[in-house]
Amino acid sequence: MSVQLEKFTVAYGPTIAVDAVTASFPAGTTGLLGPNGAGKSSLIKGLLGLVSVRSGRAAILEHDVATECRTIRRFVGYMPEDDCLIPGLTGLGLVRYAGELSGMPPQDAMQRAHEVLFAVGLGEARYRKVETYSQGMKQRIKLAQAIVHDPKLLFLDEPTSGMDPRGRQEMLDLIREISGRGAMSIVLATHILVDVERTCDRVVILTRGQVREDARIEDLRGEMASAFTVRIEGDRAAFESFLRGRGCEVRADDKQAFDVTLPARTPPNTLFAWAEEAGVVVRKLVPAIQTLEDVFVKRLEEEHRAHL
Amino acid sequence: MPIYDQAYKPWEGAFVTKPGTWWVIARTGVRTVWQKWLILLLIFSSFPFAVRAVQIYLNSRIGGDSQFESIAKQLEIHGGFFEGFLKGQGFMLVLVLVIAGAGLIARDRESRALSLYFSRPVEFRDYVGGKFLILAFYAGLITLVPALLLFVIQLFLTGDASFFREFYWIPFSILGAFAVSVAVLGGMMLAVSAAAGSRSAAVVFFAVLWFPEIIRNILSRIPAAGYFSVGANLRQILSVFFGTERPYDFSTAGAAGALAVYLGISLAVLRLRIRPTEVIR
Repeated sequence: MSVQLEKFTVAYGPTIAVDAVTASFPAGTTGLLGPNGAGKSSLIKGLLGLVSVRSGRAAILEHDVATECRTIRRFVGYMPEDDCLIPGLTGLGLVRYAGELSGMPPQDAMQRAHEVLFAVGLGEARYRKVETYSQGMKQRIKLAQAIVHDPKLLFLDEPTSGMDPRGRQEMLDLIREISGRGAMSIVLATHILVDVERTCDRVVILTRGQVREDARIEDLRGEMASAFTVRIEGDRAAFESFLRGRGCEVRADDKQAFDVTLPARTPPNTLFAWAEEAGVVVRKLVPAIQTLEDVFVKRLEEEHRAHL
Repeated sequence: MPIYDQAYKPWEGAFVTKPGTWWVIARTGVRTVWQKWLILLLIFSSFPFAVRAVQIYLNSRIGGDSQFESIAKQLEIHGGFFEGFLKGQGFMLVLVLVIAGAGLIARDRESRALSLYFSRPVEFRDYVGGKFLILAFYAGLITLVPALLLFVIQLFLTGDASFFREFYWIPFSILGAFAVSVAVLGGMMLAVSAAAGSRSAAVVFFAVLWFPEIIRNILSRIPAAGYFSVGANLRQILSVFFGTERPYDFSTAGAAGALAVYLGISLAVLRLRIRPTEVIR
């Protein structure tokens, strides 16, 4: 396991940012997904010892966060959400400095800084002062300083924030490439669902400091495959009630059609059999949930309803 | 196998733990801080050194000559000579500390770079220690190094061991005086840099140094008012190091205590202001 959390709580005074989270992030790429203020950044900062932990336990790469923070930081890379670049240093100087601070020998840090800057696409701009960089370049240099020491675990906090579509795509490609090349696990905190879909094997959905979903992307896609939008001819209310009786989840947001989520391992053509049984005719049957975004929105709606 | 591959590659080297991240911070900081103003200041502050070196030379030439007895008396080399040199460099020391130190922590705070340090194996003591060494390096260039050099020149020009036998303690006194001055002034500069912005740090530092000095001058009839002045306390302690007459009426132990309090306050401010992440409530 890359990260293990047990009732992990981070609070700023009376405000609880991460509320007794119990979860584990296996090796690979995990997306930490949630709206703004969900506690994603606080969770990462708590794991790195950047903010104090109220209660609970956490381990990174089998090292206890409370007692072995210094050791952990040597093997972990962190790309913060903020700009956090040291003015006065060149791109090369900054990445080299970051490498040396992580414990790399000066010569290795220098050589590696060149390599990493080329890898993130800043090879030509490496002798420029970091304060002259554009937003996209700043995101890239932040990634470079986080990976210069080839960490075993990389925390990326909103890595595509402020980037144009092309830059965003390149950044996601870069993340995919890094996770594919080495033995590095990645935790990607973002509120952009597509970023998670494109880069991660697993997703942890966080809202109001609590875990709402912790699943493999593949499994979620399975869930997506069991939801359909249906339009019928006949007594719609009776058919909805009939479906609910068969264990289906029915959502009727549209006058023309309604969404049905079938029970697990129920093939879609069962709907036709049930329609015949209920005396209605199916006029339209299409997959209802097309993206992970729908799952995310659904979880948020559930969360919202629970707090009403 | 590709001839040239710019893609990400794993690193297979080994980490080193010695001498520590404070050394990395100090080394990089010394290079980054080096700028035109500082170089000019360092050149300018070498003039007093040249004058003192000439004094040593003249003393070695006419010291034993009875014809120039009164002049030789004025040129005599003793503890007070070195104390005078260090006191004379005081203003330059403050300027160097301001130019090198005003932005040291303030700029890291303003650019939110502290999380970049503290997400690595860097502790508070490494960070502050590294930043302090940057100031100590530049302060040493205008105080410690020339003072020790003057001692060596004097030894060289005397040509016998009599001076060394009599004044062997002077290098230790120079070191001690340097350590106390830089610890207090450097600590205060770092604290001000952590508390104020990079643009206002210089003004705040001058205010912290000279406002109490003005108060002390106004209340000159009350000796205890001297405890509020960093400069007065430092001058009092320097006289102890060089075995010269105390410049003020207040107690030396009290002066040492006051300096310790200044240092303590500086550390407390640093503790309070150097946080890896700002919490906005």
